[in-house]
Amino acid sequence: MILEIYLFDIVKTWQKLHFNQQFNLNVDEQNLLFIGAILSIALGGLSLRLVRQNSKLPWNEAIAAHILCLMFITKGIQNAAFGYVNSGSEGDVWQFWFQLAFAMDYIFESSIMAIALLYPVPLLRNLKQVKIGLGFVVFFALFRLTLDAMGFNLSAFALFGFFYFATAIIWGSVYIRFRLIPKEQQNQSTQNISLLSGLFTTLVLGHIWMWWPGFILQSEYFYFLDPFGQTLTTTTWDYIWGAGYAIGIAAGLTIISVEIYQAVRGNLNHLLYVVSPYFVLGVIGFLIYSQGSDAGFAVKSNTGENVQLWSTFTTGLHFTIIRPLIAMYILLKFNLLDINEKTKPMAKTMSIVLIVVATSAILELVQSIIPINQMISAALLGILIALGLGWEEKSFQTLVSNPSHIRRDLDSKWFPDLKISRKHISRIEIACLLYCLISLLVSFIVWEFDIILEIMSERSA
Amino acid sequence: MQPNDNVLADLFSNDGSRRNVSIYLAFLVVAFLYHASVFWFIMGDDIQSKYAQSEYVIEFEESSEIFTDSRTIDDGEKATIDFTAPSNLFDSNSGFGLLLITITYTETSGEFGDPCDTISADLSVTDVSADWKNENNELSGVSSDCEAISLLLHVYPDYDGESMDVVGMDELYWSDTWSNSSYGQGMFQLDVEVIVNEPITSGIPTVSDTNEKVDVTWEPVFFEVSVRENS
Repeated sequence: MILEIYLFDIVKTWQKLHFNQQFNLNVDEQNLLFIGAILSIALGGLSLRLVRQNSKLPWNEAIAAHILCLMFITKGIQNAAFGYVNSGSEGDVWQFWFQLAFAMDYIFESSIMAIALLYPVPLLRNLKQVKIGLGFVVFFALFRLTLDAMGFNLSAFALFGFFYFATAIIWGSVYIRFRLIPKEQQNQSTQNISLLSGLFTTLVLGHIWMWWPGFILQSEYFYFLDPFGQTLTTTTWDYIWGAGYAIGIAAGLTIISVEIYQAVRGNLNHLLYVVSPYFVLGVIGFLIYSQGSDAGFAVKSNTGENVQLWSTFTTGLHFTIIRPLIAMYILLKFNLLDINEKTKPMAKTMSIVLIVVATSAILELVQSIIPINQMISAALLGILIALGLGWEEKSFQTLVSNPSHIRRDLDSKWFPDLKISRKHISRIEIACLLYCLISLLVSFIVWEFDIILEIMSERSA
Repeated sequence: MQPNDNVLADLFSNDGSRRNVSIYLAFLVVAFLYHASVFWFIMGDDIQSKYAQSEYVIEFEESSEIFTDSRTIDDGEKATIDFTAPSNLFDSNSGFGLLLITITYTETSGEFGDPCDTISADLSVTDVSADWKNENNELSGVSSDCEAISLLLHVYPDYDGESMDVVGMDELYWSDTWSNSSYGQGMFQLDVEVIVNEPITSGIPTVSDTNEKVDVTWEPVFFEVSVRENS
């Protein structure tokens, strides 16, 4: 979830408001937030249109696809909200953006849990289970929002980090079940289900995997994790959050171990190429983060430039660029979007938006380290986008013309056929819209009543 | 095959799957317990005290050298006396703390009944980096009774020679804070003016007092800083 990486900026906000310190923003991080917001909203919106037009999807895939698209729209709003929190606007309006970002994070976490319960294999097997399971995730989001409206923000009751447990347990178990299936039962669908589970796990837990040495070697940068500082959260809160990371890292270590084992046995899956960079970067990150005593997320503006840059190029990029990329790949590769002659132009627009925005974002970041003349960087951007679009043309065709299946040659017991009409599934969008409106109202209340400022003053006392 | 309403039955549907998924979940539990034990026990004290800030005592060991200068200044004249602290003192100390200046004189005319002359001294503000606006500075003085004039300039900001207690940061930070050799580098200028007070016998043609000899003592006080954690 995007929440964590920007916590260090929130810490800076606390400093600005309460300790009268210099508000020293990491501009690259801030820009990346807005770029991530544009990317997420654009991709989520375009994908949602395509998902709505795909009438062939089975019930669980249709619900999961809807939620995935909506999740990225809300994620974009969250990115933008945190961008505004970090922009150091005058007055106390930051409380509004801060609360809105949290509200959007709640829906992100609930969305992740809902998708895990339904896709790639539905764990909810009948209508009653679907109602209870999805009812729980909706309740969870509303419960947390209610806590915030009542002034219990960031309390241990909100179970921050709970969705890391859910992700690791659900997708991790499905991954193990299908990746280590006996050879005689293996087929392309089992491979694809394990790939999908692995990709979703990467999407959610990838940034945590980059801290695996800190977890094992008991480094301060991992165990001192305290995203909101002592003014807002208790040690118990920090523990629950960190425990989610520990479980996430254990899931990642299992996945990479299984992938290496299978690759050695000649059963290579592309997932290895996706997962292994995170663990390699973890080793380098260990050397960099160990230079200071800051926790991984709480990289403050007064820490060394190396640490800040590393944080931007790893965790920041994962949240803003890699997550949409993975989501886009899943949507296109696993037939969640019905690409035909009518929908192809929009699908291509999506991939072009992704390439252009991601390319320019990465180039901007590179430019922040190596100052390049603006004319040269403009030319470079043009070249990179041209190359990217050329690659997109080829890879898009490959993706669309060669979709992956997860049901073919697989026992139908894994895919119960529930009669859930499209009309009902489309109501998810209305529910999401209502949630966003309620979130705006709650954020307004939090701002008007200075709820966060009061909490800070109470807890720091 | 008809779907079973209990998905766990399918996840653990055969021996191999049961073993694999069980090992995986057991590994998650181990990671959870490992994290809990490190968080609450192994690093528990460090984590609880991560916001505790250390206290440090900063102490200064002073050393100084005395440099003297002497001028004979005519009545009504103003002389400028320069002083530059030797570079070896900057090299061998953490910083230049204070500059003490003493101006002494006596009535040297030898005439009967000749009162002390009036001497005024003024340390000019120059571009030397120093704490010129320190309220404890004594940058000028006047004497008409042959008493010495003592001037004081705080060169290193906030330095008063006393040890101090500070909170937070680390030893290196405080040591660096008090080790800056740029303060006090350059030339100080002292303006000294003499107003002769004539003896009561000044009406006699051979009796006169037209100047005065002034002795100036420059005492740059350097310090060596030491920082220790207050246990």
